[in-house]
Amino acid sequence: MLKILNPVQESLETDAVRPARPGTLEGKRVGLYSNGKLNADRILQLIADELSQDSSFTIVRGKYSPQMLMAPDEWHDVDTCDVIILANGDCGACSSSGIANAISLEKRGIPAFLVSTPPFAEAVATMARLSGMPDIEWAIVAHPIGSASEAELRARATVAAAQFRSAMLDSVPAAQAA
Amino acid sequence: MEPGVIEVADVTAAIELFHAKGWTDGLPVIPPTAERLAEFLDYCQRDADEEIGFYEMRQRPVTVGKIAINAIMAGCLPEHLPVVIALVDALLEKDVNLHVANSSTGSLAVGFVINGPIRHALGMNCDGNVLGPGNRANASIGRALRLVQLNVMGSVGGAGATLAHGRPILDRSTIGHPAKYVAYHIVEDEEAFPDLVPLHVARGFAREASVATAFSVGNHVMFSNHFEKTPDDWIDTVAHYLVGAGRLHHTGFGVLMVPPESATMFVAAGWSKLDISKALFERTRRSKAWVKRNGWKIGGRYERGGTVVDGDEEDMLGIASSPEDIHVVICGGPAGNFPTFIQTYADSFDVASREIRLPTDKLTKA
Repeated sequence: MLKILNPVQESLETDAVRPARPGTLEGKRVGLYSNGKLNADRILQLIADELSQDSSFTIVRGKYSPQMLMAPDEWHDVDTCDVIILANGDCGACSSSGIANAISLEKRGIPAFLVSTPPFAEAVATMARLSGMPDIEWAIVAHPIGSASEAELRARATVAAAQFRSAMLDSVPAAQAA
Repeated sequence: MEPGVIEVADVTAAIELFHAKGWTDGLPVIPPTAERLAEFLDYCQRDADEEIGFYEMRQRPVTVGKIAINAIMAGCLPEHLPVVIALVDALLEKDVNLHVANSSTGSLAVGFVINGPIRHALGMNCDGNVLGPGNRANASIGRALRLVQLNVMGSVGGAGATLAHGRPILDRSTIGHPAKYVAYHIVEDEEAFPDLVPLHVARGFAREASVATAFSVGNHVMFSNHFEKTPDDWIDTVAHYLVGAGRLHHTGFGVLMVPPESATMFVAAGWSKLDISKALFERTRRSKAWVKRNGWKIGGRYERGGTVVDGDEEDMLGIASSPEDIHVVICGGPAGNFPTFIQTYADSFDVASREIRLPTDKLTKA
């Protein structure tokens, strides 16, 4: 018999509590945080346009790294936001770091919502589990975002906004529910 | 049985188990035993539990013990382990952006340059075929990094499966990269041209120090510079192709591998390494306006053919942050004027260097 050693390092288990959802966007401050990937700013604006059909809110714009976990002091105005939408997560590094950054915001007490695409659903779910928040929700819109046309972006933004309402708001508008 | 210990019938069964578990790069590994691990740790005089760093993105401690197990699997000898540890330590430095190399669709590899007396102590190759194959130390040290990325950091590649051996695929490379097997394992030839300052000395280390410099790699370009009779012509040819390689950024780094045939010409003309870096830096500088007008694109910024706006004429791009960020390394076989440039993947990437910590009683050997 031969005794051999396991080469795998498992992730440390963490357990984080999610903050309360905003429930409504009326009168709230919504953060649109872009990681600078192509079309990130545009889809964030289109999602905000969709959401503004139901409620009136203030937009706070910010940036985050498409590659790295942000240091706490790098987020600038996040603490003034009631909820934050992050985009894009349509590549390997920006999807995994995107959900890790979203979870770091949730741990800070700010509900956060990443916009990602189907090829990365499994990796994002895994990263959510590794970061101690397996039940976090995020938008999954058609791939890609970066090279999508304006019409395609609008369609993706509509889908993302609907998923945002479902994840973050108490009720969806009648038009959406229908 | 102790935690982490697996009992198998024999060596063949062990090798097959590692394939079945997805704990390899697709090639057979040396089965790591507790006895072999003890030899590695004893050589380094370090504890298995010592944490070299913490891979925060995936919540994984990176310990000497797990690095050593993967180095054994890769085919390393105990004396290779200090180099592997120094390289892992360097790769974990923030500006290396290892998470991109560990996860990106962009299919990055990692690379390194080894300097100092350890090169000879380990019999590393800085001569012909420096990037491989054939040298055990070069190859197994490089392979150890890949196995650490796979098993310690969780960068499981798909390799044709939806779930790789039941594990989620976190290395989302679209195409992959041959250097994901053994890395760009570069060793500098410090002796061939004594007037040229070795990389580690240029980066502030003592000449007698043994130093590992690590980085993430987008890709490389090799040039045939046999018609270039002067340093200026040589630089112009390299610059011409690099400007068109789609990777002009505001920041970043590059590694220029200069073979002896090229270095001979530069030394004869009185050029230093920094002269080479400065010339290449200057001749690859382009304004954002130039990029837009000429139909190129800015890596990661997608400016092909865009409208030139105020400030574009002054907004300069290039292949690195500064001349000092173009790292010239002398290496390769005696014949052939084939310089090779290793390109950063995107802006905000940098290299990181660590002195290789040798056990006290092994210092004289190195």
